[in-house]
Amino acid sequence: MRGVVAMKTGATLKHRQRVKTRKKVFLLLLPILLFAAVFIYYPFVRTVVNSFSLVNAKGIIKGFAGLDNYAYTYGRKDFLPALRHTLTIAAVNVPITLFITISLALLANKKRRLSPVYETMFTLPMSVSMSAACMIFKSMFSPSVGFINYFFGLKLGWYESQETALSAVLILTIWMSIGFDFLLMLSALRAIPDQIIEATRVDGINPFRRIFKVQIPLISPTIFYVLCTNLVLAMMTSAPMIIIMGVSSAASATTTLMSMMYQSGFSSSDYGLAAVLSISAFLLTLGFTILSFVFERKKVHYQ
Amino acid sequence: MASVSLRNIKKIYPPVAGEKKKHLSPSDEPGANLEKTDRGIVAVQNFNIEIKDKEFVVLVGPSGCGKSTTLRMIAGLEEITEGELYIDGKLVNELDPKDRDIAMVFQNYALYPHMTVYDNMAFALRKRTSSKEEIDRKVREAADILGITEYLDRKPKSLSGGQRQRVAIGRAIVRNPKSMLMDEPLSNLDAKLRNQMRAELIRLRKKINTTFIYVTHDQTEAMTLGDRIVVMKDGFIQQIGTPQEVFDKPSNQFVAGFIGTPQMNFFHAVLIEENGHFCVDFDGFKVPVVDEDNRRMKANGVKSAPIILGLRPDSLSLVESDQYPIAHVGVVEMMGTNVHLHLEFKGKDIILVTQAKDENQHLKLDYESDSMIHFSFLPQSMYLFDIETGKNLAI
Amino acid sequence: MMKRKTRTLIQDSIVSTMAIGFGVILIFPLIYCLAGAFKTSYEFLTPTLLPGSFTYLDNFKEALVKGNLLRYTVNSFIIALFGTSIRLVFSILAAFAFAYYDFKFKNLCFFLILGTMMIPADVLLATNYLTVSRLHLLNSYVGVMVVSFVSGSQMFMLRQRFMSVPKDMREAAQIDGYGDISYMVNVLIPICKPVITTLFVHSFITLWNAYLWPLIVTASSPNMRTIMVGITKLNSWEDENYQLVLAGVCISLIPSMILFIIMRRNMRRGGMDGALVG
Repeated sequence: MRGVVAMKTGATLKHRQRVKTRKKVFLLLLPILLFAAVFIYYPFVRTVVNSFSLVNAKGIIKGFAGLDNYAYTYGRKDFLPALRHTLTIAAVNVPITLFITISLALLANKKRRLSPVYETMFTLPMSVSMSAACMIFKSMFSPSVGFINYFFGLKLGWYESQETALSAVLILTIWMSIGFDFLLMLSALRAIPDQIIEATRVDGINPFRRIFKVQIPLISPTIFYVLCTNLVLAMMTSAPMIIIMGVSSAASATTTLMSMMYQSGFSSSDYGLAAVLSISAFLLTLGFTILSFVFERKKVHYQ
Repeated sequence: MASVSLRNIKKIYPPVAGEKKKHLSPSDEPGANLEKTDRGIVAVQNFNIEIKDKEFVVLVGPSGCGKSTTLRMIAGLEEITEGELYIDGKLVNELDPKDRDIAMVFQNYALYPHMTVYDNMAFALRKRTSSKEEIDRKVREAADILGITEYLDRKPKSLSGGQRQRVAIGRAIVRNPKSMLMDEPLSNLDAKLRNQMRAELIRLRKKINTTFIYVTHDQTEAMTLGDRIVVMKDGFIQQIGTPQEVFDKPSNQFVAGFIGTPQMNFFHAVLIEENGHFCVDFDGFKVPVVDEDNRRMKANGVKSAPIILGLRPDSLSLVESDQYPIAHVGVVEMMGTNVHLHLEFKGKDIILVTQAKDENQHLKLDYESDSMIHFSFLPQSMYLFDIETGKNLAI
Repeated sequence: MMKRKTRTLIQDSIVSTMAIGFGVILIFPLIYCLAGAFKTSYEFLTPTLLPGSFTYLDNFKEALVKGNLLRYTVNSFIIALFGTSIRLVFSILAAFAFAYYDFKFKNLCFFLILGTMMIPADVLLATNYLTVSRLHLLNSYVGVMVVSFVSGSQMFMLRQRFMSVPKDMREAAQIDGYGDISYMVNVLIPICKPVITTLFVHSFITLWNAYLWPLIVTASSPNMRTIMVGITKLNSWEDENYQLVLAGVCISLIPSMILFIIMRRNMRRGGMDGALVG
């Protein structure tokens, strides 16, 4: 009898607590979920929907357009160059950044007296904003008053000439990625247990073999992570085109999908075009990310 | 300053689908022998005890016996599945920990790392008392009792293990709770510090008048600290009694083996009734059961049968005569005052404890590794257990 | 032995020198920027790296006053501070729920929040612009920061950190009479202060440095621009006032440089020392 009574009170306590918990959890999660819904998931779905719809200049859907937006976008004269520039930036930026940051990390790996000095130098670029970097580079590479042409005795147009604009943009985007990626690589290298490196020394393995057969395989998860994030960043590049290139005569040499989205889609309120370009860039990124995950299975070693 | 009574307390951990186990306190993890029902694993059942005001009760048992779970149920950290818990005559099953007026010392101390010792101790008071002066007075009083006044401004990380332990105790006593719960508070200290803190706990207890409920797996702590000991195994209470009772009259073979170091030796033997008097046939030697036990066994209706004979290591003694059972000496452990002899007898390992020196302070040298010795014991030192149930036949 | 020691020393010196050489190349743009900011417009036309003197401050004055950078700095500061605070509060609340409660749809909610990391913000620009304009938040502080309130990675890191705080801590607080929320405020958050500080700094720099979204949202109201938008408006192709631009860039870099240095120092500190045994 007593047991039954006790069980009942136990149940009500449990029930009461569960209701209380539910209320608390709801209140705790409400803000973040609400804003995620309104400013991330809704716009994402809306962008997908827009790409298949007739959207007016006020952003209101006026009807179903099927693949018309896609046909229109992909048929434009400036689409293929934009796609080519986007892929070029990714294809050049990612490997060069990886090479530079791994090399710098290997160089800085051992702790020396001057380590804090050059580590700070290597990481400092990560605190510089995209627009600040753009303005500095624009000035440094200015054909008339820029330091680069003067110092190397060049007469290049850099951002102002069709031939060199894309390369100049690439130098900028690579510079922007170095700081943070170096930091990741360095901490990954330093996380390798000392015994492993000592074992290679005792075994008399030369430094090059050590780097390629031991250290790089061991930090491959980090390399993979850097590769993926850089890929996404490279595919989404648009700021240098907007800030530096603007509407200059060389602008067409650097247009990417996202800068095209901004310039022709946004300024002229063509939301159908903007949606198609956004979705295309997103799908490309997703595709490459999936590809790299396939690659990851074969090449990445997790401990 | 309160009585605590537990009536028919039961705890069932509902089965957790797949992933990680539901949080059991660390010492309770290997609960392989716990009863499993379709509602889950029964961690504690049939737990009944009336703890008197200001009593010091120790729950003791091996890992997974449910002692920590029981303590956590009293604290309100764990829900009581069935049964009733009264503190000071008031049913508290439904109360939150903070409303039960209890304090707890955790195994890992659980000090707040970002607060000074002072703030750690004042933290609970701030929720209850408003006056700053009163908080200050109480904290300083408690610090004084524990001798940690000089550390009040320090943070836990700059304290040693023993000092942290004191702070943890201080945090509990500062509130002057109705009852103090302690979950293996000494298990993280090294042996020397543990002995010291144990002595200090005994002193502390005299200074603060409150009910203590103390959980440990260490039977020495249980014996030295407790007014009463609750020996637990597999979620059941095995015996409740004073340290002396539990030692002298263990209710079953498990308690007999668990309490006392080195562990009690157990032998197979046969109980024979001759002329209305029981005697034990131990490997062909007939040993009469003492009168008192004889009477009780009669009253219990014990019959002649194979039994388990228990003998504590220090009740075995070495004899010269070859009339007595013979054993092979394996390892000789010199402990200083005593010597522990690990003997092999009929394929069983047993331990015999004897004095290292004779009356003239000369080392006794009549045993060495790999030799044979004879041993004997007194009839009154025998413990007799049922071979099936393990129950003590003589109580 | 001596020989080996000298060899290591020589090796280290060579590598250090090389590293510093690379370092100088890497931070050259910053050196160039700082030097350029102190040049007179005449000096800028001469091909020297360093200015005549580092006391010529007219560029800074002009950038702050004529370029309206003073106002933009205040704008950026308000947006970064409040945006970061709100984002952090949201993340802490959610991380607390995930670390301490069991509830229905827990995994679903968790992945919904983490999933936000998968979608690049640039893809959402157009629709968010429309949403913000419909909410009449264009050219407002709230409009600029509203899209940054959700951070999946921040929530995830906080949850991991919260879960590494021993359960004993919460139980001790429970017995001391503190409920869930007061436990969070009085115990959990102070314990996790190093992580929270790091996330705050990181988030502040991210919001301070944001460009594209502030550009779009404040397009029609020059007074509401952030500093990162402001510095790009200090010159044009026709009028290359680079010394002015570089002074503006220097100003815009001050907070993130300071925080960057603080963060590097803060990164190694832990928080749980001494709470538990060992």
